[in-house]
Parts: sequence; C-alpha cells; structure tokens
Amino acid sequence: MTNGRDPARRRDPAEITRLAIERRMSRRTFLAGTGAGIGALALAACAPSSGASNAPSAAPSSGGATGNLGDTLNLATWPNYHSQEVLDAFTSLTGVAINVGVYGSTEEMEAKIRAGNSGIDVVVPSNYAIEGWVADGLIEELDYGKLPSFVKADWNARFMDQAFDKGNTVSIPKNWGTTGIAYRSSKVTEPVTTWKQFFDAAGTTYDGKAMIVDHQISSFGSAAVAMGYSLNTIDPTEMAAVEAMLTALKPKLFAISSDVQPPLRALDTWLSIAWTGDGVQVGRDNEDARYVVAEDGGELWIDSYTVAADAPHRDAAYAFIDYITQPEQAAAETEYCLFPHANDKATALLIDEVKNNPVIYPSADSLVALEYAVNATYNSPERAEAWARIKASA
Amino acid sequence: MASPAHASGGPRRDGLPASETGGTDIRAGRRAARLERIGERTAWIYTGLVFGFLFLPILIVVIYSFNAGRHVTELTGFSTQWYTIAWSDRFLMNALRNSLTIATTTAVLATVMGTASALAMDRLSPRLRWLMELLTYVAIIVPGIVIGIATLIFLVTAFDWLNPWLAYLAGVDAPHLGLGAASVVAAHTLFTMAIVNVLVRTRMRGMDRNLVEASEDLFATPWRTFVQVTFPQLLPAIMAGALLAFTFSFDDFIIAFFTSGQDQTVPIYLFASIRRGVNPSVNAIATVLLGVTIMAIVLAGLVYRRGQRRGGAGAQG
Amino acid sequence: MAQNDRPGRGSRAALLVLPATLWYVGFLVAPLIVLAIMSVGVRSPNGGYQPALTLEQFANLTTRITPLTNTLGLAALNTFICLLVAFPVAYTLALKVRGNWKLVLVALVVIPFWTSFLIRTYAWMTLLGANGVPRILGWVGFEDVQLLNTPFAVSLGIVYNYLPLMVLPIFVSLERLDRSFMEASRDLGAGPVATIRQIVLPLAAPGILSGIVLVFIPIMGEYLIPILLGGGKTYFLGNALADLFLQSRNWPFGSALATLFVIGMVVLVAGYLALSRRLVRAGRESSLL
Repeated sequence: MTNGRDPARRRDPAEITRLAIERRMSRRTFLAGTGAGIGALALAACAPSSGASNAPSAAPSSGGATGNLGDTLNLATWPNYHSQEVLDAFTSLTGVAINVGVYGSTEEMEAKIRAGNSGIDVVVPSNYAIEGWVADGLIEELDYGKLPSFVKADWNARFMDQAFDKGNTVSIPKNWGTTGIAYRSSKVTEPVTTWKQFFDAAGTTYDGKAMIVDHQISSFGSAAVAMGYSLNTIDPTEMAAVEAMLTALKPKLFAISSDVQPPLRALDTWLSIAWTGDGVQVGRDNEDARYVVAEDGGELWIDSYTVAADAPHRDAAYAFIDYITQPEQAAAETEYCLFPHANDKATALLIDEVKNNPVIYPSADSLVALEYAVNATYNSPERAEAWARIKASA
Repeated sequence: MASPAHASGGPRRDGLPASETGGTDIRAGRRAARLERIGERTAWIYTGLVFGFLFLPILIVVIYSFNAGRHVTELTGFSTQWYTIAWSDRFLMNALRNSLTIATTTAVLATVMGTASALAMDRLSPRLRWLMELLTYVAIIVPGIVIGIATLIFLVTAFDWLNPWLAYLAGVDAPHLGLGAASVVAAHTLFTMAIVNVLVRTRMRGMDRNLVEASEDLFATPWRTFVQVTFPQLLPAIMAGALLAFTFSFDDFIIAFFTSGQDQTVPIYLFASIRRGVNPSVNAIATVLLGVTIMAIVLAGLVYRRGQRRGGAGAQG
Repeated sequence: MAQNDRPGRGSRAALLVLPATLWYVGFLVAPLIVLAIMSVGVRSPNGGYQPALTLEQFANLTTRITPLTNTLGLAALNTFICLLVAFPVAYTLALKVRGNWKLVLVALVVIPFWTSFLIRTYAWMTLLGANGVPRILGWVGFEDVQLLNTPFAVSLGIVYNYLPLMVLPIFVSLERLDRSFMEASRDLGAGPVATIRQIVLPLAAPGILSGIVLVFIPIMGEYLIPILLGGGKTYFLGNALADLFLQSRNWPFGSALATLFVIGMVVLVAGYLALSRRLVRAGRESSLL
C-alpha cells in the first residue's frame, strides 16, 4: 500500500517498525542459513560473561553430568512469543526438543500447573501470579548454580527485585510491557491519552466501536484508574463504582475480548485496551494505528521464566533458561516478539529500529504513573465476582 | 374441496384414505403429482441453499489460503507462501499430528465399543440394560465443558495416588503418569462412544428382524448372521457414528483444552494464536485437510461401489 | 425383542458391553463423583481447592441466574431454528436422492466440518465483520450495520455448527423409509402434506428427537461461539463455568455450578425423553403404521 519512504514518514513509529521487520527478516534468513552456526555464535557471546565456568552454557555446570538433559522440554508460554530460530538453536546445541504449549492468559497456565501432572517444566507467568504460586508450591526456588550465564549486573534494576519476587528467587524476566490504548487515528481524531478519555469516549463518541479485553486485571484495573482509583483497588465502594460504570458501558462496547488484533485491523473496532505487542504488531501493518501508554496510569507487567515444582525435565529446564536469558538470545527473542526486554545488554544488541521505537521502549517518564498488578488483586474473590457480574449482565 | 380440507388437517388422522379416494380421484391424483413436483423442486433449491451456507466459509478459507497478504482482512494477490510457511511451522505441525492421532484413535475406539455395546444391549437383563442406557444418556447429556473439567480434576487426583505406587513398584525408571493425548482420547471416546451407541440402536429399532430370524432358522452361526445380515443393515449408522466421532474429536477445543496437559491440538493452537494475531498459514492447513478429506471420501465411494457391484443383484440400489 | 432362549447369549452380551461399561465408570462416574466432592469445598486463598464440608458454593449459585436463563432460552430457540433448517435437507437427501449420490451428499454435509471449527468460525468473523457482509450492505444503502458480536451472529454460528448433528440422525431414520410407502400413500390419494405428516414425520420422529437432544446439549454447554461471534457480550453458562476455572480459579464454586449443571441437564433431558417417547407411541398408534 505504501510506495515511497520519504523522510517525513520515516519518523512515523509504524514505519520505523516496518523497517525493523524487514531487517529482522533478512537477519533471520541469514541465521537460518548459517544453521548450526548460531550455536557457536551463542557460545561466543556468552563465554566472556560466564567467567566462572567455561563449560558450554547449554550443558550447565551441574556436577559435570552432561548426558542427563533428556530429550524433551515442556514450555508453557504465550502465543507468538518465542523465535523459532532460538528454540531450534537450543535443540541443535543440546538435543533437547522443546514442546511449546501456548496459553492466552496466566490464569490458563495456572489451570494446568495447579492441577499438576501436566508435564510442564518451564512456565512464563505474569508478575501478579508469582507470589501465590510460590505460597502453594507450584514453582520451585531457582538454583542459580545451574544458571552459570546469569549476570545480575546486566539487568535493568527497574524490572528486577520487585515486590512479587524479592531477589528474583523464583523468576527471571522474559519480556515486559504495558497495558495501554491502541487506536486507529483515521477514525479516532481527538486525542485519547488517558484512561478517563478512553472510557468516556467509548460510551459516547465511539458507541459500538470500542473494546476492552476479557481480563479482570487489565480491564477492571484500567477502568479503576479512569475513575481515579488504583489499578489494584479492592475497596468495596470503589469496586462498586467501577462495576456500575462498566455494566452501563457494556452494551455500547464492540466486544469484551482479548483477541484485540483482528477487529482493530478490520476497523470493526477503532479503539481498544491492548498490550504492547498488539500495539506494535497492528502498527506494523496500519500506518494510522497508534499505541499509547495512558498518562493517568495503568498497568506495567513482566512475564518471567519459572520452573514448575513437578517439572519432569528439571535439568533441561535450567539449561533452557540459562540459554535463553543470555543477551544474544534475548535480543533475538525481543526482535521476534517486539516486547521490550529487561536485560540491558540484550537491549544494547537490538537493531536501532526496535531499540529506539517509542512504542516498544517508552520513555522512562511515561512509566512513572504505572503500577504492577499485585497478588491480592489477582486473587480477590470480590473483584473476580464483580468482573463476572459485569460479563453476565444483559 | 377434499384436498384443502385435508391439508388444513384436523386432529383426526385416521380418515385419510376413505374420504379422499372418493369422487374426483383422477383430477386429485394429477394435482397431487403436480404439487409433489413443485415440492420436489423447492426441496432441491432449498437444499442447495443450505449447502451454499455450509460451504461459504470454507470457500473463504480456501481463497485466503492463496492470499498473498499477511492479514485476513485484505486480499492482495495469489501466493502459495502460506503452504510453505505452514509446512515449516513446527508448532502447527506438531499440533496437527497430535490432533490426527487423537481423532483417529477416538473414532476407532468409539465405533468399536459403541457398536458392540449397542448390539448387546437388547440381550442384557432389563436392569442392566436400564443401567447401560442411563450411563449412555448421561455421557451424552453432560456438556463437554463439564466433561473436560471433571476429567482433568479426576485424572490429576488419580495420578497423585498412582504415581508414588508406580515409583515404589517399578523403581526409578517408573513411568510417570501425566495428562496428555491419552487423556484427551479418554474423554473424547466417552462422548462419541455413546453417540455411536445411540445411532446404531436407532437403526436397529427400524431393522428387519425377520431377516435375522430367517438366517438363524437356516442354522447360520451368530457370527455369519452378524456379518451377512445385521452388519450390512447397520453399516450406514456405524459409518455415520465413526464420521461424527472423528469430526467431534478433531474439532473439539474445550475438552482437549482441559485434559491435554502439555500436548497441543490444532484447536488449542488456533485459539491461543488469535490472541496475538492469527497466522494465515492455518488456512493452508485447513485447505489441505479439506482436500485430503474429499479424496478419502471419493476413494471410499469408489471402493463401496465396486464392492456393491461384486455383491451383485442382492444389494438394493 | 430380548430372546434369552439360546444358551450362552447372556454372557456373550455381557462381554460385548464390558469395555463400554468400564469406560463409563472410569471416565464418567468417577470424575462426576470427584466433582461433587469438590463442590462442598472452599477456594484456597491463592486459588484452587481446599477440602471442607460446606454448602456455601451452592448458596452462591444464585449469582449465576442470568447466564442460566440466557442459556436455556437461547438453546431452545436455536435448537428449533436448527430443526427447521435441517429437516428439509435430511428429507431431500433420504428420499429424493438415489444410489451413490446419497452417500456423496451426506458426505458433503460433513465435509465442511473437517476444516476445524475455529477456522470456520474465523471465516465467519471475517464475513460478518466490517469488511464482509456489512460493506456489501453499505453499497446498497444500509450504512453501518453491525453483524459481528450480536445475538444474530451467535445464532448463526450455532446453527451453522450444529446443523449436521440434526441432519444426520433425521437422515438415518428417514433413510430406511421405503419409497414404496410413499408411492402407496400417493396411490391412495394422499397429498404430499398428508404423506409427510402421516408417514414421514412418524418415521422421522426418533431421528428428530435424537437430533434435538444432540443439538440442544452442546448449545447448553457452548463456550467458544459466544466468545468469538458474540464478542463476549452474550454470556452462556459454559462461559460462566470456564471463567470460574480459567479466570477466578475458584474450583469449588465451579464444581458446584458444574454439579448443578449436570443434574439440571439430566432432569431436563430425561423429562424430555419420557415425554417425547409417549408422544411417539401415541403418534404411532393413531397413524397408519
């Protein structure tokens, strides 16, 4: 649809992202072409950082036992989150095939991991679930002895040592992101830069054209922010007010659904609650698509690697986490999924179009007002019931 | 006068032949024939429309599988790239393999157990028959989502009990029981087996018992009677049951979602991937499956026809 | 029918039903028992199940009355629409088609269902979305019609997906209806309507009755169609149940809802079957056959 790339348009974030994709494609083709070379590349990249051990990163220094990684690893993660090249490189390096299970939410992962006997080794939940999972023994304390390549100094302090996991005893970040507002500027002409504006416009100017995600924390939380409360409110009066607002809004919404991309692309929906990746991916194909972090607050989140307590392939799980959190692999993963990474060395390795894309890496100022959702919010039966009532209302 | 009066139909149904064959029989007969012809034509047009409705989305899927564009919302040109991409997508291929294995196993198990139990149920003692009927109906009645949740909870509880025993009995190399393709087959077979049972018994109820009795009177063994008399009469129902079982199992999302553990099936993969933008290569997979299905059915039709010809005049057209 | 006059028949019959029985016990009875046990428990603070002995969960069920009434009404309505659409198709296939074409056409009813429910539904999402039918309607003057995420779209998705479950059983029971019956009926001077009412319908009744059950049950437990074509705004019992496990992670409450769901369905369907059997018997006695 777009023919030329005049300098003026090049400043457009969508165009920048498109450039990034093109470069990423050529780079991935190169990587695929070199085949096994990627392993060597990875080893070269990590060798200096893991000074304590000169053993290959994929066969961690777990007592010198090299042949016990097994042949399978079960990874429970999100859709379109991992670069297949990186996973393949791990397999060719170690002989461990990765069986990827994709889930639409942390809650769905929990349904499997809490039931147990699921075979899952590595899970990638969002921050708010972790405390509860630790309390109930669903995930194990990380054995850093089996993660020789992990160098804490490489990681951005903004995303480490958080309240949900002090000292990162059970989790290492995969990618992080925001819950913001995605819209099509060809249809949404006045500025929508706060949650208050979003929810006001959703029920009036854009009747039938706005959408919220089917996720209690993100939707109920953002609505709470719009009304001046905390994202994490579990105060009965505040929750009642939010519930009344959303119940009244529901008939005017296009949908309550976490599948925000298809309707945003088709212009069934003009504006929606969305997560960073949605914003970047829709913006990649539609010049008028915008993604903003709301000025009045909202959610900041981190997805992290954790090891299931009943992991059948524990050694493979550690070898995998040790491998995929190294800067080179982390950078390749980030260029694939287009969510920001918490490892500064990985960020430094990114191509400029990703690194400097304000949608992927928003300015530090814009993050100040954001909050992490906490375990109490995730587990509040009252809040869950309020959300259920909103969804059940006619 | 007679015909419209009849069409408006009172609650009394038994007076049909006498009142209508009365006076103007020839004209009434012609009118009935014409009416039937019109009815027949309408029925065909209507059936055609329903088939159109059934195939419209399929047409969309096939068209988009050859679409050059990245997203389903725009048609940009012809390309076979999605076939290549689908073929090299290991996650999708793995899910497809799982789905085919699960659906085939389910169809075989459900057809065999459903037919066997249907054949034997009439010969059980009344009390046992009542119990089997109850279980069959409950298996059909319980919604899939409940089956999924209940099976998940039950199996993980059972595994928690069994695994320590296995470890105790077999030592370190003991198999660790967990959720997976097998638990999906277990849950799918429950429902589909009951469906096969009901379909076969519905057919049996309308079956010509005289033939069976004649065969038995001629001292045919029960097995011969089954193969030569009962089975051919039941075949349409058994086939329909097998088709339904495969289709149900291949299509099911919710039961598989709860019981599959880490094994992904195509519906699970698809449902999760739409969250962050669905990949058009799934249209390519769907088109290939459709092609394979049509070929398989054409092949089955040819084999059936040849078998019928060899069977000779005995089989009715 | 049951002729136990030959020796060995009973035990052979028992052997034939054994695998099915074991399956029922292992994967139906046992799971339902575990479900019932869990329904008297409580939610553990971080989600999941904690053993207890309380009826608290059942008391909370009143909060799910809206989805319940929603589901019952929509299931009945859509089953009826399904029947209306399916019967003429099954009738035509069974009685107007000869020989091998019959198999081919029945296969055609099933073929679309090999393309995966989700892919077909995504295709409907495209067709009903802004770039599909509404755009065509826009060309002829009906601007800004919303089809996707409406109750209409939900009904369409349901009828589309459960049509074969209605067509096949009706077809199976009609297929054994000999054409000579109909010819005899016509020779006796009965019009087409009379033939259908007095010969076809009584014979099709078992198929229609199983078709209704086969369609009604999955609609009652429907989960995906309200999400995908209803945009999460139409909320079925299946969605309420799934949300309790996949969002609230409240297993005991979910189990209570599931338990009541199962009991309700069994009562409903058993009542329906008893009633319909009586109707069929009455219909048979009063008809020619």
